[in-house]
Amino acid sequence: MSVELRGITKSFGSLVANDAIDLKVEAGKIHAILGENGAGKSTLMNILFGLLQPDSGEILIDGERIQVNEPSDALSAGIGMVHQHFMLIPVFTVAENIVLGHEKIRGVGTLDLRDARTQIMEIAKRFNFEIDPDALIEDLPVGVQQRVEIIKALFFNAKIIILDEPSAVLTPQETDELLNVMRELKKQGKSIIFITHKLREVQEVADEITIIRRGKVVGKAEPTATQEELASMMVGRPVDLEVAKKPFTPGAVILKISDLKVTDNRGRPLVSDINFDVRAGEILAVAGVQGNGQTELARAILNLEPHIYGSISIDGNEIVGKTVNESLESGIAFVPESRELDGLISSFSIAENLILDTFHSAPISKSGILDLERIRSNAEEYTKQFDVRLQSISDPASSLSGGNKQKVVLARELTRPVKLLVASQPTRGLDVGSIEFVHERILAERDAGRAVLLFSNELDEVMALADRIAVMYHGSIIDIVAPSVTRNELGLLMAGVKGKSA
Amino acid sequence: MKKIFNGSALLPLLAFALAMLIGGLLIAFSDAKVLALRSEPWEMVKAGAATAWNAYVALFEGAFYDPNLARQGGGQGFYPISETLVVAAPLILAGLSVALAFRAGLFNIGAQGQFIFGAIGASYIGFTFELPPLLHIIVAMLFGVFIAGIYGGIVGLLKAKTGAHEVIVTIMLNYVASYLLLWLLKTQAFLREGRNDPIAPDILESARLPKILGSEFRISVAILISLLVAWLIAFLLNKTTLGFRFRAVGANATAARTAGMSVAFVTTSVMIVAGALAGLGGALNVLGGEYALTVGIAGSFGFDAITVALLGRAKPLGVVLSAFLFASLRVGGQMMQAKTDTPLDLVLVIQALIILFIAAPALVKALFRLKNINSSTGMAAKGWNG
Amino acid sequence: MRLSAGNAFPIGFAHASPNVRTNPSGGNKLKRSTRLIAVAVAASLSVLGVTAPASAANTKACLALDTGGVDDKSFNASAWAGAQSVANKSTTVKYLVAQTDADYAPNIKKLVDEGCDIVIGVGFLIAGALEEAAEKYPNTNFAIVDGGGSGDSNHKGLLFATNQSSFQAGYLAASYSKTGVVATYGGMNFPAVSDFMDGYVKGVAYYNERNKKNVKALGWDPEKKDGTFVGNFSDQAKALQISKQFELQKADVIFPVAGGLGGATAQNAMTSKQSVVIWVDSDGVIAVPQYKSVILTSVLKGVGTSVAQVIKDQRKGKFSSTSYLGTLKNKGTGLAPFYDFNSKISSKVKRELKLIGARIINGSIDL
Repeated sequence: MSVELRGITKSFGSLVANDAIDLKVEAGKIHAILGENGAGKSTLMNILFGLLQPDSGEILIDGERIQVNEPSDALSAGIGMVHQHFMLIPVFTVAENIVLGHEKIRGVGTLDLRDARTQIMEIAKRFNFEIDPDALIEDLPVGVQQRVEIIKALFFNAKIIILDEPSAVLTPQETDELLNVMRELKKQGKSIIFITHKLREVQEVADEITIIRRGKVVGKAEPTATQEELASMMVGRPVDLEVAKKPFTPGAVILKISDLKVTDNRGRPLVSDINFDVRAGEILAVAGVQGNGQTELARAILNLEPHIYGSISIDGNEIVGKTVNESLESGIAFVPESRELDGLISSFSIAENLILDTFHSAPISKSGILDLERIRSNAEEYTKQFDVRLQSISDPASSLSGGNKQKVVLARELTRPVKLLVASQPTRGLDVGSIEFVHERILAERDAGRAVLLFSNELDEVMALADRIAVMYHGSIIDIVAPSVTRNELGLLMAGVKGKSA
Repeated sequence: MKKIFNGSALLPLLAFALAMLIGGLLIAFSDAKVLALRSEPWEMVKAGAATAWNAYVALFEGAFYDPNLARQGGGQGFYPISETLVVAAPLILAGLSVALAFRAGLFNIGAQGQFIFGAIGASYIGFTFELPPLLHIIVAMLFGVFIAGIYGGIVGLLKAKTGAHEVIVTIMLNYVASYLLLWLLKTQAFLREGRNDPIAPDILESARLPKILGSEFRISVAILISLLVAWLIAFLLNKTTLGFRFRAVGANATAARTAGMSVAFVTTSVMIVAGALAGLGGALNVLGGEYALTVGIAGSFGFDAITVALLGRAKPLGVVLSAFLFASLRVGGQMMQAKTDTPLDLVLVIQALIILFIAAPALVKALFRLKNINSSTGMAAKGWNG
Repeated sequence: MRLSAGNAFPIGFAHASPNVRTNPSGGNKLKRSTRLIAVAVAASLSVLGVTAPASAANTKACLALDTGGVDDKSFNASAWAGAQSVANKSTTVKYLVAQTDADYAPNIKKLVDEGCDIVIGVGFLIAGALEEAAEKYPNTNFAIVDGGGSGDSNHKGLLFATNQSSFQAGYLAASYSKTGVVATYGGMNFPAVSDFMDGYVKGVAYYNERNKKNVKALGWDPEKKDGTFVGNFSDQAKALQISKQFELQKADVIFPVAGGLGGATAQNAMTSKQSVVIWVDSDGVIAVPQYKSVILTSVLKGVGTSVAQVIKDQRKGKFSSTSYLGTLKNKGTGLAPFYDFNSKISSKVKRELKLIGARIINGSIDL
């Protein structure tokens, strides 16, 4: 089954999200749609799936024009979609989630899942999935949850499956598995529309590539194109993916952590036996598979964790037991793991977000009264300095794209007088241009003589930026190695296998 | 025109029209005279329209301006709106209490109890001590505000220290306040001489709020105080660091915490202020209108305040406007009953319909098939955890 | 607005704010200047012909009801029935229900502004507001059910010596009781309620004295002037709970003096079959026939009769401020027929009840 979009235009107010987009996806092909965040990829797919109505344009399936007013129209036309944020109910089982909304009822309101279960098993067998229909969603790893979404699409006989940024939430291993699943689907004759901004993945699986920039199709590319070529088309200017790094000149110890232990409310250790220093002008990257205590370690440095034992000192001052505010004031800039949840207040204006941790003192406020003029000029200055693309500083932060949100966080944190930058997953979910920007800023901080503690799950990032790499495994630091380490050696450490240390 | 369609002005207007239409049908069909004309549909429609029109005229006259009363001279025509403002004053303050807590992410169901505490405190000072006039008012008001602030603060403290859900706690404290009042009114300290029923002595003249339109009208400085306080709360929220903390914690507590704010401090302090606001409402009600503490002193102010706050989108100006709407429906509804014999229950139904349609813009949108109107439904639709 | 106080709010706050009927505005006297203005206003009104008391061909009689509403199956309903019974071509009657206690004074003003010739306040709780109004609007007449006259020439009290009939009811209850325990409870502790309870308990004592028995009466202490009260007139659950408590203490005749709340007691009696009920204010067998099988008798209070009488007087231009007192003698209060229970009450007891009535009337039983 092939699908064609002709002249799709959609605008929100003055913003034209899709501008006369033409796109044709051939049957049995993986068609990648590549573009930066905010380029209009998701809008286009939401139109195809019936979640949004285009201002003009038409959708054709196998050459027949169809009307897609709501998702059920898309489903019955054979279009399935796996959203970036899963539409699953955590406390329901796999089977229950799949039949949700189309349940069969037996007798007095009892759910009849027998047929569904058989059908799910059949699908799993056909596509080589491993899945337990009776497992609860909340017990499943993210990668498997995503597979449930895919099975759901197949369950409703989707012939075209839209995958919206599917690898954004996955670990490298899970991503590899996903790519295999996509190949398997293709083999069985399904068409796949693959929305992404990750170049490596596109190169690996795509048959056709369409690149979208600022709501317009800017071109097509062959899967044989280099990453630099693809990135340049996406960003609209030449892109250098290599990080230029100045020589390493470490200064005095800024952050010193000794015998640190973090426990949960029941006293079970989340992080233990942590000992390391970070010096001025040094980037120490903490690598590891997600969920090995990195989050808790980062939060502990800011005293955000409730049960912290041991010692953390900033420039010689002990901060364990201090409040979050005191920790920040002792000279820490903090880029939290989740921009949306921890870094920003989405409903607050950009200007307000820029003063979230400086509002309480001069010059932003005097004797408890905010200086609104100062807040405005502050915002104008910082957004300019950090190249935040926005319409107005009084727009809510939620109006920004992911990269610009992260820039707001950086602008706020790095403009304070700090000695240490703690950055958790600073490029997660960002597009190429923004990643470039974030990397530059982090290096600039290092070169300006600040200590940087970088938590990242992206191996490429860790290896490109770090002066030293600490690998976390099961809540402890298994080893600290030089960045000259090979990918393979790092992978082994991340799996808990300690060989020769660097 | 485009502005109206894009903005939120159109929706409330449509909502109001719709509520009036449905209410009008209800009024018309509850009128025996109209129903008697079943055999002549056109006559029936005319009679029904007349009945509904008269009822709405009465509602309007009862809430704002009554030409019949105007003939008495002395500005009596404006008596209805003065009454509306009398009811609106405590409602604004109780509404601000709920709204402020809401902005900090707390659902203050306890305005009723805090209102009662304010009334108890103000009333006790008001009838017990003899003080110079202005001083007496201030002391009585402050005492009511003080104990209501503590009463609200308990909720915040419990939430901050133990995680006790403020909804449960405030509901329970409402019971405590109601029954404490009932008990207090039976004690010697609060019993009025020569009476066995629960009514406290009259507030002394020196503690009564000055009337602003002479003794023929009940309207007092209470309305001015409540408007001033609404302005102060707007200032607090938008221009002060404390308000910034409140809003930040309310909008995203984890981000606020990550930015170094103490959620426990905000929870406690916002509930103290919320309690004080509702308490001021109670104090003004007893010092400015009722002049005596009774079991029914809080009426349903504390509960209506929840609707007022949500309808006002938890913004001070919104609260003032919705409290005024509430009060005018309340006062005008009574006149509708008096003038046109519309049964009280039906009056209440119409009031509820108007609120319902205004509070549920999505419903109105669906009914009128409006698309893409950007109405900020967030506040009214927001859940318990704000 | 009464959106939330238990009526419409979905979370169930019904009991968080006891819906008590109270007097909102005490008895603060108006200043002289106010009175002058009021007189002037009233005078100008007369000129305009908005109201012309007594002399008008048409009489407009208006009832200011309390929050119980017109269908309370109790004194509001009785008062309205009484008013309707005298309505005719030259007499229009209407009523206005208060949504909350704070409405009493504004409602009375509304009725006066409407041009009512006489405004009758129904219920003790409205008395304070009505008294003030009488002072403020000298050209309108006022009467108050369950309240005394204020002394103003346009203000009349309508009182009922319900302790007399309740005394008989107490005697009857004591004689009917097999367990030797009878009970009463009230809505709120004020005279219009406690008069019943007082008479009832004294009637039981009288029975004990005459027959050398020891029937216990629960729920009212005539010495302390206090007893068992619901605290309002609307909390059915509490009324039910009180009734069950009484049954646990072996009471087999219960006399609820709480308006419509008596229904909860009667309902309980229907299911438990452990007690019978004495209805209050109106004849229960007529007002709530579904409970006929458990209503021993009813203590009548002639609210309707008195309201009708006041309106008739007004129509004839004979309004007087002398308080009306309903007694056994003028049939302003009394016991209802026994209906189903007629055969279960011995003729001896019936004779004694008559005798007691006569003694109360001639004053040889002093209450």
